[in-house]
Amino acid sequence: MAEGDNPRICPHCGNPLPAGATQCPHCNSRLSLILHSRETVLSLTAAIVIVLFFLTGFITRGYHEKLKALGEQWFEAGERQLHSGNAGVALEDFHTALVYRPDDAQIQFRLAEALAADHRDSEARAYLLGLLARNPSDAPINLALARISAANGADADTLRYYHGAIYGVWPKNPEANRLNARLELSRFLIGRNDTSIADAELIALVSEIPEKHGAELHAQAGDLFLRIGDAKHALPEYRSALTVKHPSANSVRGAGLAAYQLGEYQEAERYLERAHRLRTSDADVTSALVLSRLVISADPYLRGLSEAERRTRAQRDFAQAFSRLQACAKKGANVSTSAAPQSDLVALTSQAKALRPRLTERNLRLHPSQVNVAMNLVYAMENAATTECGEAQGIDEALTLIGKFRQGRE
Amino acid sequence: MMSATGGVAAPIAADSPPREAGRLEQLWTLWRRKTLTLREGQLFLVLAVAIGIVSGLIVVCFRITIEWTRFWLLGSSMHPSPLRVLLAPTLAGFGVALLVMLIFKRSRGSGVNQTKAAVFIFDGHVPFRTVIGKFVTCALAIGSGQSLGPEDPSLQMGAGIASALGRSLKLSREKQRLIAPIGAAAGLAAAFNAPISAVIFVIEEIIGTWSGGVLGAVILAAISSVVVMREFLGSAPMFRVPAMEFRSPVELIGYAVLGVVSGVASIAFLKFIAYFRPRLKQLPRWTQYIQPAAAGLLIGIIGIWLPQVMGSGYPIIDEALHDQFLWRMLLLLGLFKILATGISFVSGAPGGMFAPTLFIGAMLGGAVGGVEHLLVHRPAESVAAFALVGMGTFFAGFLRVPITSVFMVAELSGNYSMILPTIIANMIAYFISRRYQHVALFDFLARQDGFYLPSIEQMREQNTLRVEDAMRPGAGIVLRDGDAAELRREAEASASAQFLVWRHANGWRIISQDDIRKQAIAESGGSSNEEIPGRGPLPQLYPDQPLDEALRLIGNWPVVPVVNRANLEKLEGVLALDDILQAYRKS
Repeated sequence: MAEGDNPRICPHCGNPLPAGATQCPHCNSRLSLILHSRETVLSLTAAIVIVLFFLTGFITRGYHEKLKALGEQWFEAGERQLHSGNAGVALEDFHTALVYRPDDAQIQFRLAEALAADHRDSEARAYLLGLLARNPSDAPINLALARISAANGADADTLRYYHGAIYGVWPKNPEANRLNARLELSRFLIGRNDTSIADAELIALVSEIPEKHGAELHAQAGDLFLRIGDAKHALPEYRSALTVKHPSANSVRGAGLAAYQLGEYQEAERYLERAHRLRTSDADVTSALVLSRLVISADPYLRGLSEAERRTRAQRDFAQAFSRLQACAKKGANVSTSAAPQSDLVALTSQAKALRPRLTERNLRLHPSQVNVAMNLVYAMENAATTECGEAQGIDEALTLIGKFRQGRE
Repeated sequence: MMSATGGVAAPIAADSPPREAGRLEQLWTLWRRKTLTLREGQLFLVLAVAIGIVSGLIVVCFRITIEWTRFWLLGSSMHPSPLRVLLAPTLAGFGVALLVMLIFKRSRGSGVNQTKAAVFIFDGHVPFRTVIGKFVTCALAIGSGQSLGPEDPSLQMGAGIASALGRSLKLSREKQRLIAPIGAAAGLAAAFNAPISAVIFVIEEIIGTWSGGVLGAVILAAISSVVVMREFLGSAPMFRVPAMEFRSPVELIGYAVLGVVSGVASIAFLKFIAYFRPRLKQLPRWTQYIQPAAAGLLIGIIGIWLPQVMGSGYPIIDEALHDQFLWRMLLLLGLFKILATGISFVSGAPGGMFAPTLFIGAMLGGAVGGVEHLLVHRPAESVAAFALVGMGTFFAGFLRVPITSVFMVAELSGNYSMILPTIIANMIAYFISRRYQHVALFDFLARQDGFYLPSIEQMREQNTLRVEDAMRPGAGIVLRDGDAAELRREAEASASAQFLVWRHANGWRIISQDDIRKQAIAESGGSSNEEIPGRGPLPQLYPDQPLDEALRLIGNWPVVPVVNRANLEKLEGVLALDDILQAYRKS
């Protein structure tokens, strides 16, 4: 291309050069030389950087505030949805909140909880494991992981995470949360029929229940003790739960049943009557109340009884047991094919017949130890009749219970 | 250099005529020279820091502008209403097309190739208007949901800022060429929050050589920009990666499968772009006003069902890393992102390919990890590990920058435990991509735009010819130093016309048969038996030196010695100009 076809251009400023000129008039003017000197350009650059720095700071501050506001807005929306049971919608809201506040552990945790609530356990677990990796002692994360593991039957993980929750760091109400976590662990263990470990956890739990405001926890612990058959530990828990001004009907019921199981029939009657009055009565309560009353009315060893009453009761109990034994022997003679039990009944009948003449009022008064002899035979007759003819009912059941606890105490 | 009007600039003398200067100006000049004048090398380093700071600030503003645009156009929800999803990218696409066609004509495309063209064709000249155009049009395009990313435009903006500063300071042509990549590294580093990857990318893809002269400045600029960016946007890595570890070498089988999948997917993506881009460019000019809008509409239609594919998609990558999607969803997102990004890019909408590449890689990686989890019952964390490795793997296969891809995975995630699987998967994807798509993305894009830029991939793999490849044995032309009679005896026994002699005092010298004859005549005329001076000292070469360096050193000497670096007296061979030319012809 011929040079004349194109205007000559200054390589520095890009302006066309006048025809015949060897210097660019723009670049070589004094002002231009000053303006384009390195010092001027560097100074101007420094000035621009400073201005740009402040401008960027201003823009960034506004941006961060906007992000914060959006994060809060979406988090609150998610919380509302989660509380109203819309875990799916809550999830989306928490996801959006996280976009604006990606490092907010609270949002991440709530997102994981929403995932778990939406039955997306593996995703929730992955999220929670990520959080746990960053903060291994975080108790709420451990608890959430324990729940997911429990739902998926990963027993070893469940125990590990529950213990992480119990011994971990709680941001709020550490004592109450730890107790609740241990209570939850105990329930998990009971559900798995791991009663011995559950009992140990419950014993550890009750030792940590605060004196004040612990009634509800005492009652829950009592319930769990009762479920695993540990009435001995259940009763004190219910007693503690009943120390408040307005105890729950459930605590009264539990206390009655625990006392009944422990053979504390007078206490049981008191609680069970109260439970009956509070309309928390059910078949268990009714049955226990009836039996407690029967035991109280039949037990010759009850504290506070006169000697005459004790003798009368022993005579009555003996007559009742002997009567059941005879009925059973009669019935058994018709149907039984086994020789051994029948021989027990026959032997006991013989013993009873031998003892009966000595159980007069006068003889018992002269020989009080005969009451014990009579009552031992009563228990033996009731047990033999139960073995041969089925479970005892009514007063016979009460006599069996009296015998059981009497022998247990001895 | 191309001028603004398209003409060829005729160079003019740089020296100005002597001017009358006042007393004040003389004093100013004197003070200036004494206190402020920097040598160009020093100035270059100061400039690198300045470029880094300015680029960092601009990139921060750019990223915030993209976010604000998204809030305005699509709202803050991750699942915007269908109407918005359809309208925002369509209308914004039309606006972007108008801006690109009428005002900012050089703002099309990703920006990497334009920067490369600036370095290799336009002496490092990136017009400042391009910086403004890139900022505005990319913010609008990406913010409205076009499936593109902000990194490549940031790279070009950095290069533009550097170029503008270089022009203002009237740097030499050589420095002007070097300064654009410095800005590019600064822009990319700030956009990615990953200085090492940015430096390696610029070296690997834009400059092509590890030149010591520019490396220091590139690193300085990248670090400066990242420091500034972190000051404003925080120092957390771009992705929050959950705890993961590489447990057993058996796991590498899964990662090898990921390498194959990413390799195949990257070929599909490359072929899509290579096929559709030139065809859409060939359509009548008026269609270019509506192509980005049509692309926006198509992306909007995809976005109604899969809004995750819109925009750069970083939050979605984060979710994939946290096992938030099932493998089918991950696969679906990966495939539709390829489609959406392909549509956006071939339509001419300005924006980068880095973020979509990472997105696609993460989704495909997560999908492979999900399938592996189902088949092998590995822990759920493996899905996140696959997603992380997948990002680098697809990056290596698609952009063909294998070294950058490895460092990038480590730097973006702040997790170095997955380096080995990343390297293996990346290499597999890279080799598959090379095998079935011979020309790399940036190379064929440049050719489609009419630029024949050097292929960095080929440059990288070119064998450097060394002196040892061209030298020949020195037997027969080396003489033991001694008196003239001794030399003459040795020379007479040789057929060579030139001889090399080592002298402790002044190194290797060359002596010709003529010199020996003249000395003989002088001696026969009664002169004493003196040393033949010859010519020298000769430049000495070493076997490991590049041949082009030898070419510069050889000058007019008929032959030069190639010596041992540990013993300069020991001749390894000799080299003549013909030997060099022969070696080049053979290569």
